[in-house]
Amino acid sequence: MVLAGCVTPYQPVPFDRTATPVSKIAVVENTLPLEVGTQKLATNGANMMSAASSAGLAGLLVGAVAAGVEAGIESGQRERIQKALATQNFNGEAIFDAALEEALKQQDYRVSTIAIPRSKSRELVVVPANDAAEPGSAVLDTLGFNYGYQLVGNSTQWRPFVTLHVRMVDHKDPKKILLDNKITYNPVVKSDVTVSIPVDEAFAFQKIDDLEANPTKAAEGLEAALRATAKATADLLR
Amino acid sequence: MNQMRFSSIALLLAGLVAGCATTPPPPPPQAVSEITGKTCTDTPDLTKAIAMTPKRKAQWHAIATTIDGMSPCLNLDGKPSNYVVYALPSAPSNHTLTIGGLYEAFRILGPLVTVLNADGQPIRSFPAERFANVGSTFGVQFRPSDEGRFVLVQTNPQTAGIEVKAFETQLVTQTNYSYNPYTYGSSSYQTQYGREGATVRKFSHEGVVSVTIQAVAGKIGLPNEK
Repeated sequence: MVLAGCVTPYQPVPFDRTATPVSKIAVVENTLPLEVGTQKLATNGANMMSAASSAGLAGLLVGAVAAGVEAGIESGQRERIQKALATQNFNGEAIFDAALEEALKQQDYRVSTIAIPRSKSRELVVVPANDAAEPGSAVLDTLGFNYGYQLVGNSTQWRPFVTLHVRMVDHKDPKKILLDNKITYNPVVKSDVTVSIPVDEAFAFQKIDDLEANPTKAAEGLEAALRATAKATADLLR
Repeated sequence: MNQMRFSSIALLLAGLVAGCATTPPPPPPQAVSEITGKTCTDTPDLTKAIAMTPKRKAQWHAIATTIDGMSPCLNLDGKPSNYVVYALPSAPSNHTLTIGGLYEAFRILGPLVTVLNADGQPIRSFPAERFANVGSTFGVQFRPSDEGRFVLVQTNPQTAGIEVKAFETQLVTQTNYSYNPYTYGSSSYQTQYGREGATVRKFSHEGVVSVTIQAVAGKIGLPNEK
């Protein structure tokens, strides 16, 4: 709690197109995790761990076992979701990239891609300065922390989610941050000053069996989530 | 006599029951789609601007202003629109502002946001596409220019009454208590559960304006403060 009090709150950088005229955006390639993920919150295992840990050392052991069992279950569920989506040739990166490019072009940006190796996974790329970059050109990184299907406790259904960190810097002088924000599709907690998008309620599955029975719908749900997130990213650049 | 005693006991009991009954909280307010019976002005009253600079030095400051039937209104293209004005801190460009209408149970104040200069003239406004769900606010995020002195937030007559449907997922945390044999006392632990459901709100002329001010360097209004 004391530590939490000392943490500097996240500070977004809103983009101002009038004050900073950007006309050309190079979008960093390979921004989403390689595989579709899962996110399980408020599970029985997590709650058991919390309850058990209040009962001292022995409780911690019980809790750790419960959490381990829960992790094993989730790993199996993730594989089943991945297999179901693979039957639809689902490619999240391609869907997101195409939707982002389309939305940016609609806003009269010239769009290209740029390959910058990500030294640490789940961290924004370090953009090298490009002295030859023409004025008004920027590099946009849309780092996906995780995306896929999530289940919150036992009273909800499996629904799509996406968590993204977007940052745009000046290509000539990357120290100039032109935009920085975080976007969550289907957030469980609305964080202050970051962007959230409500989930499309049409895409929900009571059990993994239901998702496996209708992989087309599962792919459509995740596609809708990625498209909405890409559009929200482009909207921050208006 | 017996009958009298019985009725007095009954009365006493009734009184006790009435004494225990608590008044239920008022239901959450509904959206207000129209402003009626108000005389509106053509320009905002800048003398009543609410300071964005907190009394104590801070890097982060949040303000919630209730807009209700008593709030002043402006004529906006022939239609009334409730408003509130905020005075920007000194060194305005050193701040990130998140401003808009707060999500309430049944309504969201439908906001229009304009930055004004020292003369009260508009120098920046935001199109509908720039508004997003930011935290629990439907609003815009921006850094004002140093020419900015005030921010005018007014209700949008074009959107008032329009439904906003959203399906929401929530993670709810609750604190539980248990007997701890090691400390011979009670210890607390937290568990969480999920909740989800469809919500319907309407954009409203009344509600709450939410303002979050973050200093980029130093403190709010004091860019050189450590």
